[in-house]
Amino acid sequence: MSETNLQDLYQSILIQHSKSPSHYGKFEGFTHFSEGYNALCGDAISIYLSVKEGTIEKASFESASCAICKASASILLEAIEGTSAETFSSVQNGFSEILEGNPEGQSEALSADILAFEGIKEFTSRKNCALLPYTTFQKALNSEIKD
Amino acid sequence: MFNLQSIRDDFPILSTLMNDKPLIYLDNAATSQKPSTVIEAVENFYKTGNSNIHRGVFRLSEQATARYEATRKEFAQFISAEKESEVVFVKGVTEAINLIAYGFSQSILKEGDEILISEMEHHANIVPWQIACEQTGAVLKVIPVLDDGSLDISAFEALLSEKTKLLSIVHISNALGTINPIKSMINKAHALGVPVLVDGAQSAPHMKVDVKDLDCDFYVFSGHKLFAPTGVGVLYGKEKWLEQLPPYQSGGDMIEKVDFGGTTFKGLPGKFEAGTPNIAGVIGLSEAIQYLQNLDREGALAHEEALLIQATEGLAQIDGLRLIGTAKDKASIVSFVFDDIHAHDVGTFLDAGGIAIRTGHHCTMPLLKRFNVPATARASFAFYNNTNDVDCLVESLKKMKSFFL
Ligand SMILES: Cc1ncc(COP(=O)(O)O)c(C=O)c1O
Repeated sequence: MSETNLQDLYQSILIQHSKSPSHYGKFEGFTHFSEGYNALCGDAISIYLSVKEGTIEKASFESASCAICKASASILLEAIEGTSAETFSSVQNGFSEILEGNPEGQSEALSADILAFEGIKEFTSRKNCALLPYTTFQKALNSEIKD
Repeated sequence: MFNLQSIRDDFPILSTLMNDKPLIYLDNAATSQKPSTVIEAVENFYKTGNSNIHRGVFRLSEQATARYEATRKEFAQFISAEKESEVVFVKGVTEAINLIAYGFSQSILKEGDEILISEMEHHANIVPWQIACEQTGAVLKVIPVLDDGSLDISAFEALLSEKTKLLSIVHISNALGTINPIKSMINKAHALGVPVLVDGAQSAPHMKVDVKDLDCDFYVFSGHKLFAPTGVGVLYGKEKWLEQLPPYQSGGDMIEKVDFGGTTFKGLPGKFEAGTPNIAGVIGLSEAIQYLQNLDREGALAHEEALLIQATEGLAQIDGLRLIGTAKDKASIVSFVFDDIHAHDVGTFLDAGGIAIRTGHHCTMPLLKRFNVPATARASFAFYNNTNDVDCLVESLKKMKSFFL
């Protein structure tokens, strides 16, 4: 990992998102919720969703986590709010490809902010940080709907 | 005489590059580096001495057995144990504690008994006891930690009672560096007839361990933190305790006679060494303790203390950095957090400059919860680190602030 790699990893867009994440904070009346932990480092994230008739109307998160995880959550929720579980699945698949270093063909499906995670491919131990919001989002979608 | 340059030359990894920079290895609490003598002993064993032990009548096997058993004796002397049969070779601290916890759950613990540990234990000294308690109805009691990272000794005294069947306590905290006053704790426990297990994973690399002087009932070591290979460690136990515990694993090597009518086990220490052990690891351990015995250990400790002071003062100059663990008695470990930069990001940033530190919960999640932080960055020094290593750490952290903020 050189300092150039470091600049690639922490693209300014990611630093921005980590410093002032959007969709941050619990909201009233969520219908779905899940918590996720990264056992390696003790990071924790909570995801709150309000899903009505197949539409993810509102999504937010809270976390005690690193910059990569926070930025990933912020960018994910920006992309997903107002869409559906299917959209989430396709974004998730695209994101996995990016982390594996295969960005080709993803630029249509994914926002520029998500593409900014490309630099992480060199940082094996940090991929889980970026993925935690995704696995937690998936668990939240599967969670029991509250009355 | 403590000669830092010649010591550094003994550790080949210290002259390698990492990310195009000279490696600065500050994760010694996770595992230590190995001197050439250890590396070569392992290599030579496989090249010219490899054989199984305790079973061949041929020369090669006899030699391997002799080397293995000689290490037991050397280790007993190294820690001032009375008998070499009180030295059991295991994988490391985790296995040693599991062995003891299993034995206690099988032959000692009853419903309502208590096991006393502390809030600063490594998971290896928490989870086996949780399981033993679950299986026996015993209760796990926890000595709290004060704000400076030292143990609450008056709480310890109040928690200790006739119900306590074992005090199991870390000598030096891997997450904070706190050195616990184990000698006086052992005395207090013994006054009530309570045996004591000391987790020595972090202490043995820094200080001379004398089990006779401490009078502890068990003391456990991980070789890989003691400049030896991974996968080898030592469980020291007083004979009277080891006699009471049943075998932990069973099979080859630990038996005297196997018959479908009934099997008899070997005596100490063979009873606890089932299967082919880590022979090369034990031979490496022999070289590691040899290395330590040739080292000016007082000089090494004084050097580590100087590094700790330098690091503590250097880190204090960094705005927004908070040390976790400021006890009066500390080993050369510094754990810290930033208000607004997560430990993981700190670790990745330092790595780009060739500096290896540990970030995360250090397998002490309850302790971090007590300090209300999800993770810390931790730099831990060995006697082969130098003042330049500390300077680089402090300078990089200063640069890091402008990178992230
Ligand atoms: C205080 C303490 N106890 C136990 C352990 C576990 O040691 P091992 O993983 O070598 O079994 C460690 C290692 O990190 C430690 O620092």
